[in-house]
Amino acid sequence: MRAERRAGWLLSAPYAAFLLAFSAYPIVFALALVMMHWDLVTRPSFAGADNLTLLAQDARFWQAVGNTFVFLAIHVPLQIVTALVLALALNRPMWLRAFWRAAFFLPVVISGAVVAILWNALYATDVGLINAVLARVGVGPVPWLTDPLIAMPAIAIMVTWKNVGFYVIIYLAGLQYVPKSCQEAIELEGASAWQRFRHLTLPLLLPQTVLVVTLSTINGFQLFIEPYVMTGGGPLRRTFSVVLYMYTNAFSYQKMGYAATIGVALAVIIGAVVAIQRRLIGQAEAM
Amino acid sequence: MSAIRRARAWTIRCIRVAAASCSVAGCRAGPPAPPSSHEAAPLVLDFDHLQHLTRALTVASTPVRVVALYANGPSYAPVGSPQRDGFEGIASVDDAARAAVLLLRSYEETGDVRTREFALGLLGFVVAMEQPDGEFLNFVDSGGTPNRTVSSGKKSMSFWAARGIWALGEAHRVLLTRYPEGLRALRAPLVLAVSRMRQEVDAGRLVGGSATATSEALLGLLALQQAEPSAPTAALAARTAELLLPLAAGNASRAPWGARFDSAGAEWHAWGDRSTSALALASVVLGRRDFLIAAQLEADALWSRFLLAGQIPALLRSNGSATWFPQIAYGVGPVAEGFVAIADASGDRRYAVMGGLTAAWLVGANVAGVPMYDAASGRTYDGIDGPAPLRVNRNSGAESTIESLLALHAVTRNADAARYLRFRPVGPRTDMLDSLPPERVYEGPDSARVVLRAGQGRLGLTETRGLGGPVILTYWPAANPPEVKLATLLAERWNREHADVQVRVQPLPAGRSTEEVLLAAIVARATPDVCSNVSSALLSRLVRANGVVRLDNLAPTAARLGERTTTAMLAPLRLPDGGIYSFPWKTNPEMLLYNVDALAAAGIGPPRNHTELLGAFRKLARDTRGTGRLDRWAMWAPLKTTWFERFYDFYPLYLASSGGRTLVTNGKVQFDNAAAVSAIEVLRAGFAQGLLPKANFALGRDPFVDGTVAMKIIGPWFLRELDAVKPASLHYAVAPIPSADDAKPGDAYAFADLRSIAVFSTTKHVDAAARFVAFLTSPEADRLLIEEASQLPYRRGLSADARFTASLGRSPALPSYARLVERARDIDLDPDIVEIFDLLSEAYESSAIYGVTPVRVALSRAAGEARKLIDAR
Amino acid sequence: MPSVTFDHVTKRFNDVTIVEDFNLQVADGELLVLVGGSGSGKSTILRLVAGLEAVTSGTIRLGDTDITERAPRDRDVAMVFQDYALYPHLSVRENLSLGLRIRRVPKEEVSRRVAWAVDMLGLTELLDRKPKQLSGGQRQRVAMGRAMVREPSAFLFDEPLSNLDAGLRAQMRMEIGALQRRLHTTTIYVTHDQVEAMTLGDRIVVLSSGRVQQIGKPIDLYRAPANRFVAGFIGSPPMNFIEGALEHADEMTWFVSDGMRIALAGVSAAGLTRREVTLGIRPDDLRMTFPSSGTAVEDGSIRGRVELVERLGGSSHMHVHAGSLHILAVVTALELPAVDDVIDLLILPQRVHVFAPDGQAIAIQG
Repeated sequence: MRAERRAGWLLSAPYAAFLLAFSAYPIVFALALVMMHWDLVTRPSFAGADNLTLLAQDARFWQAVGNTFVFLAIHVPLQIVTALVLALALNRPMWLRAFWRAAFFLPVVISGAVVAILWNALYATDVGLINAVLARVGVGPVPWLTDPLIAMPAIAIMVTWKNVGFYVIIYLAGLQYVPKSCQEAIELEGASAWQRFRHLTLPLLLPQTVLVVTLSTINGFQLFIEPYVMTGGGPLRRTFSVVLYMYTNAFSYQKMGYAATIGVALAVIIGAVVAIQRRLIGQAEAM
Repeated sequence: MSAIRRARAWTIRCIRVAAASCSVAGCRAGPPAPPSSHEAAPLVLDFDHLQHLTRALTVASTPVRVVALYANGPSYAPVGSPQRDGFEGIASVDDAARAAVLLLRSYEETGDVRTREFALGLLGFVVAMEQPDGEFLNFVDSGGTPNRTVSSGKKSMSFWAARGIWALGEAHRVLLTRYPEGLRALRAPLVLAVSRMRQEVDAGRLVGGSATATSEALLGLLALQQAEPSAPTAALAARTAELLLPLAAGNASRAPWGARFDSAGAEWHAWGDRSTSALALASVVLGRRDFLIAAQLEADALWSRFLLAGQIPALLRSNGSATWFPQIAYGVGPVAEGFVAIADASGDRRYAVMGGLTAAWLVGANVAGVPMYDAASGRTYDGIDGPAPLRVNRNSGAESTIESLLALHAVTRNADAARYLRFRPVGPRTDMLDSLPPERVYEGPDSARVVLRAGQGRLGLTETRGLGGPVILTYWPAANPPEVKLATLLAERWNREHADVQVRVQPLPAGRSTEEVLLAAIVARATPDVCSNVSSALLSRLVRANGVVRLDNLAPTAARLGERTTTAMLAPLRLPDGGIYSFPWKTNPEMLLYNVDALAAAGIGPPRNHTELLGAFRKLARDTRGTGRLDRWAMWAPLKTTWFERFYDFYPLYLASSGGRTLVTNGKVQFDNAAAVSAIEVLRAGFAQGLLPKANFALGRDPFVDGTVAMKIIGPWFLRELDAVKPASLHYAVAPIPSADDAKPGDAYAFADLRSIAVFSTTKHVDAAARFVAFLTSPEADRLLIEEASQLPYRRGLSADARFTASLGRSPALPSYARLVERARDIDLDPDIVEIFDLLSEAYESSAIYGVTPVRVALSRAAGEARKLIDAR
Repeated sequence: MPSVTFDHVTKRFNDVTIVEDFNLQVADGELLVLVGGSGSGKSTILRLVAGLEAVTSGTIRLGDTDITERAPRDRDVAMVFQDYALYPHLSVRENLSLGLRIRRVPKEEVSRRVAWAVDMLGLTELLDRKPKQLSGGQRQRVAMGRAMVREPSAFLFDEPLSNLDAGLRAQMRMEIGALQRRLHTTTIYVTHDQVEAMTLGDRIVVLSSGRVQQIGKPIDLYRAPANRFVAGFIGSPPMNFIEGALEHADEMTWFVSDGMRIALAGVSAAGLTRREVTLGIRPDDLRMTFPSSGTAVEDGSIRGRVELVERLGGSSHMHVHAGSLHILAVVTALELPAVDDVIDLLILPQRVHVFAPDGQAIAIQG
């Protein structure tokens, strides 16, 4: 028994060391930084609650939080709908189905920066592909990334496109568990395809939908690479996400203490939002 | 005044000056801090004693300044000539003229008005002593009456006249662009003197029968030629120089080894041996290689023997026998200056080394072991008598002081020479010039050694470090290809010439910008020795972290700073403690680049003010494809709000009207003013009327190159790329950035992103790093910078400097940019400058691009937030 | 008016024929049982009626209407699945009402029907439970309730009792039968269990390999099986089969096999010479006698040795070994033989079945 326990410690030691060094230590360090002023080159100095007071009054931070909520309000429902539609489509037998499934998954594994650059080109107002196509049908060029009201939705669409493959897999797995006899039963009961979906498939996919909502919410709060590459946080700071604000404070202004404060605040917000979501869905499930 | 009190007064004055950064600095030549304990500390040039010898006088009804002839220790009260010289007088043109040359050269660097006035006072005296036929008198008495009788001062075209020409010529060279009104009283006298001198030269006579006087007059002509090139001046200078050529006797192996004698039977004397300097300068100004060869003859054959001997003789006869004493500053200085002049003319830095070793006599490398120049008081002792008893003459007259300062100025302003002031010859000195040791070691601080070895008519020079193998320095250039290539070329050149210090160029690790990479390196303690491309934004942080080495108190970099910049140019970089912590290397002032044909087709010239700019927006915005939407524009104003995007729209427009004001000075917000409003307003109007594209042109093609936009606010670095990729049909030109309609001509400054070279404090080889930095900023490196990267060195008088004309001529717009080097503003050295730019960017975006806030409201809001930010520090 | 009509219905999938030329008319209100082994096509036929599979050729009519091409939702049939197919996320009440709500039946009507079904099936306390909280029998009832509230033209039951244990099965069998009689709705009931078929069906269709073996009332199939398959399928315990031959002698037709001769009346002997047949006799139609020692076996009897006696209380199953034959007899005598006893089994002559080599029954009179 002792030999077994020793073996257990030994085998888990490398990963434990990795976790300690790259997860635990940075977290503790970040928490400590909340109470420091540090510009990365001089010694940190004690700041007390300065960073926290600053955060509470920082209109830019709260605007970034608001921007993220706008993003989520568009992204999460869109993500559910697109992933579900695609999963339903990819669940039927079709020619080269394995190819299509792989193709839709591909954007998930492409680097975010690459995708952002690609969509930058697609969204370009005067020379972008999207506006070129829209021009063919007579729709005037849309200022995707340069209009304050359109920019964040544009980014939400782009992020949805990028991640849809991942959630399709989750839904596909869930679809396998909808009993065939129930589908036949409801068909006999008079359900059209839509009614079958609405009354049977969709409710049975609730656990998957919960997962999609939670994961895409957490992901959405960490939005960074897209505003960083595509809009720089503009126009009029409408696409300035919390993580971008954190990055700016850390590496442009060299205010590491304040950046850590933003990071901790973000973690708290994410935790709260997810907890609320679980609550609401748990209630829905119980009903 | 005691030394300590003086030092304190200087320090306080300099700090006050740093606080008023835009105005001309009040510091005299060299920083006034107490001598650094570092062995490579630069020599401080102190003019106090010279000042002390000066007095005001009225001569020929003109108030002038004169320099007393002598001052005897220990009181050093200024006195006139003693009875033994037949009472010449209290002051001479000889001294006044040479002092004026010294002061003019100092003014060239510091821009100090008092120095200039001092020089002009002395020049007034020189002019007052000129006679109607262009000849000069020399001495005056305490009443201001010239002495017409004494032989060493009678009316003639001789030594004192030659010096007068020298001073007047130098005045033209220095003041023509900087203070032309000062020349009004000096022009006619110079013309007169020169025409009198011409009579001597045309007759084939040496001025005053002396090579010295002829050389000094030649120096004046060459200075005039540099200021106002003209064929007659050039021809006269050439003929004068040619008079010196046949005076040399002997050669490398035969006594008197190339020494120049005024006439047969005369003696060569060390004092005033200026022909070499003059010939070297003549070779550059007149483009005559034979002059340089003649100059090198005396240096290679004769002066190298002095270095091997370890001392300079007072006299030399044509059979090669020497008299070694008295050794005086006036005998050492011209030799040192001559070496430095040959180094400048030939580009062979070995001569500069030898010049430094020679001038070391003045600071203690002499047989008495006594520093003859006292940095605290500015006195230079008259000389050393000997050989036995060996005695230092501690009187300090005008000539010793002036000549010593002239030599030290030349050496401390030469980065290759300056450090060698600290070297001393090892071993007993030789007093037979025909039986010399085959080599002589000079030893310097940190066990550095220079070994001089006799060779085929030329002195071989090897530098070693006593403590083992060569020093290895790591050097990080900027990450873009032209600068990497430049760095590689320069490092190769350095490594070839320096066996004791080898440089390794390391391309920057990948990252978005140099700042990020450097910050990461600092945190990881993996910084290089030297890094170029350091921006002002990072600098104050680096200094606060003690991350970089102070450079103005290291001899090589101090010398280069003196040679390359003026005090005014350094003011924005001076930190509150008065130090310069990064070497200002290159600058990219922005101008308005425009497509000549596009503007001509629209019927306009380059816009000069905001009204014309808006008009240009209107006229140049066109719909060429008939789609109903504009596809050609006047300009692309960047839409992103990242802080450095403002470098291409708001900031240059603002600086073009703000009268030199930037954003934040000494913690006070400056940008809440009409110039800023005007700058934003013109862009706002452009956006509001749909004349500026609201697009990001993200696809990697430059919109100016493909003709989408007709104008671009950009720095000279872009020209390299532009010349390489532009289609043959694209003709471009540059114009100054438009100013506000109500701006005055003196209000306009360009925005120039100044990049510096920093030596990190983690380096183990401060002295070697400083030498390398001085090399990276030498004239030859600066030429490469222009040619390889099309960027401009932060160098004074760049556009008028003949050494760079060819390099600047490589691209047609470069000379225009070069004119703005000293008329530019950088971003402020404030720790929060990035965030303040971000605040401004937001204000700009909301008022100009999207028009949701009125311009003034947005601007004052940004100013208020900036103030809060600064107060919270 | 027949309620469901199958007209030359064939179902093929790739090259496999699952149902071959199925013709049937189901009377209105009739409970018709489709019975057969696995792979007999019975479930397929049901699913063809439901529309869950498409016919390859032929037509199906519900009443007057040809529903062959109609979608399942338009066919007005309700199906009870083998695994009940209750909606797991809905309560019993919602399960019952969903179909009606989908069809936009008015709310009061929905409540009325649901209440009626609940009442009839005894589901009142279960209304708010979810399917996973119900027992097998309860789930079955809910499934039936769901079909009932639809008030369809026909019920389809797909082996509804297979997943229940024996006791429950018997009870549910009764309930289903009672229910169907009350509702009078045409029902097609698929099972592999012949007991269910016999007890529930008004008529039974025996299927094998996609072909109809016999259609008829349960008693008819019991008494007069059309072929050997039906004879062996219907009836429990199953019929005994004895291989032998028909002979004509003494102006009588005899069945001859090892050690036995059975007189067959009514079989035409004309032209017969040793024709091979199979004799079938149900275990219930054998009478046991104890032979006196030394006597030979009589005609019409089989002498054999007792292998095993299974006492079931009122009757017993006796396994008898006779030559190469294995006979099972159901005996109600009080005095039972012991193992290894020799007994005679008398074959009741009127109950004998004769089958030709191709399996078809040969008619005998008498």
